[in-house]
Amino acid sequence: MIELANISFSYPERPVLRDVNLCIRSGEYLGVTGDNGSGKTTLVKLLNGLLLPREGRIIVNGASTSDRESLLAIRRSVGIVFQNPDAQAVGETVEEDIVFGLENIRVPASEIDRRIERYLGMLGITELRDRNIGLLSGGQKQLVNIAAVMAMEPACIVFDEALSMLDADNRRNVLLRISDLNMRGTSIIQITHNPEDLGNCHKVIAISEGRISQQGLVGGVNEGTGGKGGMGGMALPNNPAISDDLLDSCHSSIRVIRDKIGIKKSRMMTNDANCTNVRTRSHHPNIRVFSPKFPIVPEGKRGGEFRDHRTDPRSGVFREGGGIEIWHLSHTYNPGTEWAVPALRDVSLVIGKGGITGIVGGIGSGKSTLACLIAGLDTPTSGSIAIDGRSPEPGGNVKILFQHPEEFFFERTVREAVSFGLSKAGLPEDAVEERVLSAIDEVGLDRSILGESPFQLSSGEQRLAAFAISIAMKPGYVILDEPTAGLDQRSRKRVLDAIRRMTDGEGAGGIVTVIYISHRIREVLGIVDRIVVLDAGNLTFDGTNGMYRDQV
Amino acid sequence: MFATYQKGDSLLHRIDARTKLLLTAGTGILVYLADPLGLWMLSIVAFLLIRVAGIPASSLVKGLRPMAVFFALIFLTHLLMQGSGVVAAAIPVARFVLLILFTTVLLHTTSQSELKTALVSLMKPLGGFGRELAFMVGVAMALIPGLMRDKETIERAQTARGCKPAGLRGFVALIVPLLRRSFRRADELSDALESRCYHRDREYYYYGGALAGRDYLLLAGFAAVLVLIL
Repeated sequence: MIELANISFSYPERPVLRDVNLCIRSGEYLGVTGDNGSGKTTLVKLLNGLLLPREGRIIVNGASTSDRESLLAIRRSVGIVFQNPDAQAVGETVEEDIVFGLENIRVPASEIDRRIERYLGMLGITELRDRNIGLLSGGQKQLVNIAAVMAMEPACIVFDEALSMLDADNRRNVLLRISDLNMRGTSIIQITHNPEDLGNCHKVIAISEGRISQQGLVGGVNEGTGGKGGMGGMALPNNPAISDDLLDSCHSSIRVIRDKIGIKKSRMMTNDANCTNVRTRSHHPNIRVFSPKFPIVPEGKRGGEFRDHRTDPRSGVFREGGGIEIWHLSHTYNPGTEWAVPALRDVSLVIGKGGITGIVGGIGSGKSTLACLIAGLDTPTSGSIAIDGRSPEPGGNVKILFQHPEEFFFERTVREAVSFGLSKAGLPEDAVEERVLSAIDEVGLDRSILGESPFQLSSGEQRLAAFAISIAMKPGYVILDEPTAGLDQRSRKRVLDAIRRMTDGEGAGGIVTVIYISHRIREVLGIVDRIVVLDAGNLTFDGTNGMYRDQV
Repeated sequence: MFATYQKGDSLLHRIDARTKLLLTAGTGILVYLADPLGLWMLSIVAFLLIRVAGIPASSLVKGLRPMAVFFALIFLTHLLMQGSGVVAAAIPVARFVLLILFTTVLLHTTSQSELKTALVSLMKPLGGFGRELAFMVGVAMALIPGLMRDKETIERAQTARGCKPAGLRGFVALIVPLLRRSFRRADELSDALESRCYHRDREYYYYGGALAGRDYLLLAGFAAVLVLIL
């Protein structure tokens, strides 16, 4: 249904796509992978005429995208879900957002009602229908965007890294629904960095430097045949040692009951393989709460650094070694108003110095809330936090890097960006330079980029530069919120290596304790020493990496 | 700044958005022209409407609080510069507060799409231009909360970096990322809108409908009051 013949596209400063030939048949499920900046998103925008090729033709259902008259018909048959959940919604409420697209294609009002119900139900977000979109979490917004595009019932749906915001439960459900649509004849184009999103593809192509570098068939669910070519260094998910989905389905079913002080070992849960799907009060309708399935986890011990957090941290036991002590922490946004959202409930936790602690959980689990509280950016509704025995304060000994930290650059050069905080702290010039250099070395960037504008770097390098800004300040603790979000496999590896170097105590930052926040459990398990699981604001698991693997 | 829309089933929620829009505009004129006695009467009306709409006091406070400095300025200007009495200086403040309260009632009981549909229909005499204007207003309204959130996120990120949101440097640290984000967001949003088949001649019908007898009654009654007062 879509045919690209000899397509080239370039921006004034650089060529993006070169001589691309591609044919997407009706009912096909195509996967597209490729590094950041390889031209994937440009390809997407060419498919429905948002961009027009410099050379070549794109024919959708017999009509060319460069023919203005047929543009609307083309867009009606090729729906796109984009990556950024915040920049796709037009309506104020979820319902209005879905109505927008349906009014555009003149679906009758009664049919609009039917489709809203159908597609919200399909994605498990029926309850969100009348909610204000601005107050939803990123993942929830993205589910709404997916529902809005699906409701238009296009012949082909393109997902441009659209699932990266979703936690594993929702991602699995969305992938299932996409598969259903595909079975019933909808063509799907899935663009992703995540090999696990490609499981159902009939064919996968890799784009590299503007060309289709590899094409291959996938031995997926739908087709038993077909070999799996080595896709640009990407492991295809035929048999991963640990699957994200598998792990995550287990981690939502771990529900360790804690009493007020800590963990009671005596209460053993039945080790039944069937998790009973009991819905308890969860404020996030799409997060299922399972009854416990695993035995209670004893307190973690790791190289003497792991402290017994059953004891009251205020007893003074932890003072000498320092660390982050969190005591009966609860937090509610907009308390006492109609918008009140409880985000954390009675979380107690001690994070000793050194090592990498992972905080994982699904959409709306309270991960980011916890991070902001530790960094001193918010004051908790109740409970307390101590950083080396002192209250957290913004800009203090805990540095936090939000998702996509490179978006906050405002300096002209990388050197200015990294030295900004240091000069402000009143360090002499040579000391500033020394710290800048060692921070750049430590994150694994080349010193030659110091004179460049931070906006000219590749997305992976930008991320590393943001890291350098933080560790140049020699903080005791660094909180990284989804540090690999939006990066391709190669950049991701560089980032993870940099994080490991931060904690080894030999580089610029001295010993840095890293708190690694993510919804990608597999990636977290690959790097952390200890893992903390949050579920709907409750702490449901706290133990070493090994213990987590054992339990699951 | 003002209360956001809350779905509900009050009488005010059920009245057609066009009627509410016209009534709010008309009330605005009344608020501007009213004498002290009139302002008292309008205050009672505002109070009743707020009760009927079921708007909690907390969200009213939230809407009015950011304006407090502005109110104080108006009050002091009248009191000190123009030498009016305390009561006379309070009158312009009261007018502003009432305007905000009436607008809050409108925005609390009318969704953006209803407003957009109402605007489109009221501006029909203006032809295609009216429709596009209405759409622009709608998109701008949809973007504002995102902008506010961006500003907050950026402020927090810079604070976390040890860059205080004060002075020229603080302003640059806020405005550069904010502008970059806004432009990118606008770009992305227009791509998304076009991909969802937005076109100039689109029609608005899901939230529309014919005016009910109730609406004509309300409008006529209000017009009568307006004529009597003027």
